[in-house]
This record gives sequence, C-alpha cells and structure tokens, in this order.
Amino acid sequence: MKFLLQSARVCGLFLLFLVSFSSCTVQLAPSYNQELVTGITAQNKATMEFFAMVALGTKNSTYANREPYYIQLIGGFDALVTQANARFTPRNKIRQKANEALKKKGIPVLEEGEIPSATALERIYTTLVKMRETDQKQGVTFTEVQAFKGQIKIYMDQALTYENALER
Amino acid sequence: MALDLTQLIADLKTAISEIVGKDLTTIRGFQERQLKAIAQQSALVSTGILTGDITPETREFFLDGLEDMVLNFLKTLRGILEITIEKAWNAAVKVIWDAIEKATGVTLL
Repeated sequence: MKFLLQSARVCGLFLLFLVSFSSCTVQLAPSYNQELVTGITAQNKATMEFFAMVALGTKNSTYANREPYYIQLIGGFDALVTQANARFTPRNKIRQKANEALKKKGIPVLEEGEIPSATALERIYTTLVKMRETDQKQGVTFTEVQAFKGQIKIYMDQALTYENALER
Repeated sequence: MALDLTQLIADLKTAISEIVGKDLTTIRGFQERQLKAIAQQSALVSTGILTGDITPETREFFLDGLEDMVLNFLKTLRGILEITIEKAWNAAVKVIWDAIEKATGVTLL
C-alpha cells in the first residue's frame, strides 16, 4: 500500500512536470498580421508615387492640386498606426528587468507595450503632416522633398522589416 | 526507453542554429541598409542647411528626425532580437518535448 502511494506520488510529480513543461513556450512579441503588412506595402507604393510626382519641388501656389494626395496618404498612415497598435503585446518580467538595467545606464529602451513598427508608421504620418504644412505655407524645395522622402523610406524599412520578422 | 542525451543536444544545436543563423542574416541586412540610409540622410540634411535649400521652416524637424530615426532603428533591432529569442526558445522546448515523448511514450498536449 505504501509502495503504491509512493508510486502514485512520483507519477503525479512527473505528470505535473510534463504539464508545466508543456506551457513553457513563450510569446515575446505581437502576432503577425498579414492584412497590416499588405496595407503598409500598398501605402508605401502610393507614397513613392506621390514623391515621384513632386520630385522637383513644389510651389505653394499649386498646393490645392496636391491636397487630395496628402489627405489620402496622411489618413492612410493614421489608420495603419491604429491597426498596428491594436494588437495584444505580451508583457514579461524579464523584459522589465532588462529595461530597468538599461535605463539606469541611460540607454533608451523598448517600453512595455511599444511596437517599433507602429512608432515608425506614426513618424511617417508626422513627416507627411509636416510636408503638407510646409507645402501649403511656402512650397517645398527640391532638397526638402529628398529629405522628406529619405526620412519616410528609413521609417518604412523599419516598419516592414519588423512586421515581416513577426511571421514565425 | 532512456532519453538519448547526445541526440538531444545535437537536435537542440540544429534547431537553435537554424533559427539564429537565418535571423542574423536578416538583422545584418537591415542594419547595413539602415546605417547607410541614415548616413546619406545626415549628409543631405547637412548640405541642405549649408546651402539654404533646407529652409528654417524644416531645419529643426529634419535634425530631430535624424535622432529619432536612430532611436527607432535601435528599438526595431531589439524587437527583432526578441522575436529571434522567442523562436529559439520555443524550438528548444519542442525538441525537448519531442524527446520526452519518444522516451516515455506519453503524448504531451
């Protein structure tokens, strides 16, 4: 009888170990969203087509012609930011501890719940808003167009690379 | 059946190396593209400010942008590394799990 009880206890502990082990898989980043990636890709194309149109610079006297493009692009990126942020972001204690240690050394960290691709999309949005304001106020020089485009391309690369990495 | 430790270690190495190797290639490519693009952007903004082609209206915006781009580049790198760690961890757990199943004959859910 004593032997049976001991065996049952050992088996129970082993099963408990297996059950706890089976829950050892982790999720450290948000889930992949194909629809979001498709949206970013399409918006990227539309943005680069717009830059091709204004490549030589703009004059504020013709701003009205470009306003519909700005509205479409800015609205599109605003929607993508919301879509990118509207996902479950896993939180874990290891990241919290790592962040605390990095912060103490003055190193910038990826805050809890922060999704780098969503930040990149938000920066593209603000870049386009600034470009529209400048265009409306005084027009945009050739070099400024190149700089706005360069900034957007860098953020776009960050957004797409991170979102594609989420496909695991 | 006893768990084959040598095989388990070999399987773990293979699973983790495959994931880390593939992701490091992606990370290296991303890093090179970003650093090159940020350097070019810095040169463009710098020259534009000198020549006056970047006007006072946008000067601060582009200078702040450079700093912010570098910051989000580093955050993106860290984010991708977290995904790699997640994949490597889960792959290792699966290998160990499969080995236990094989050794014990117990199907784990």
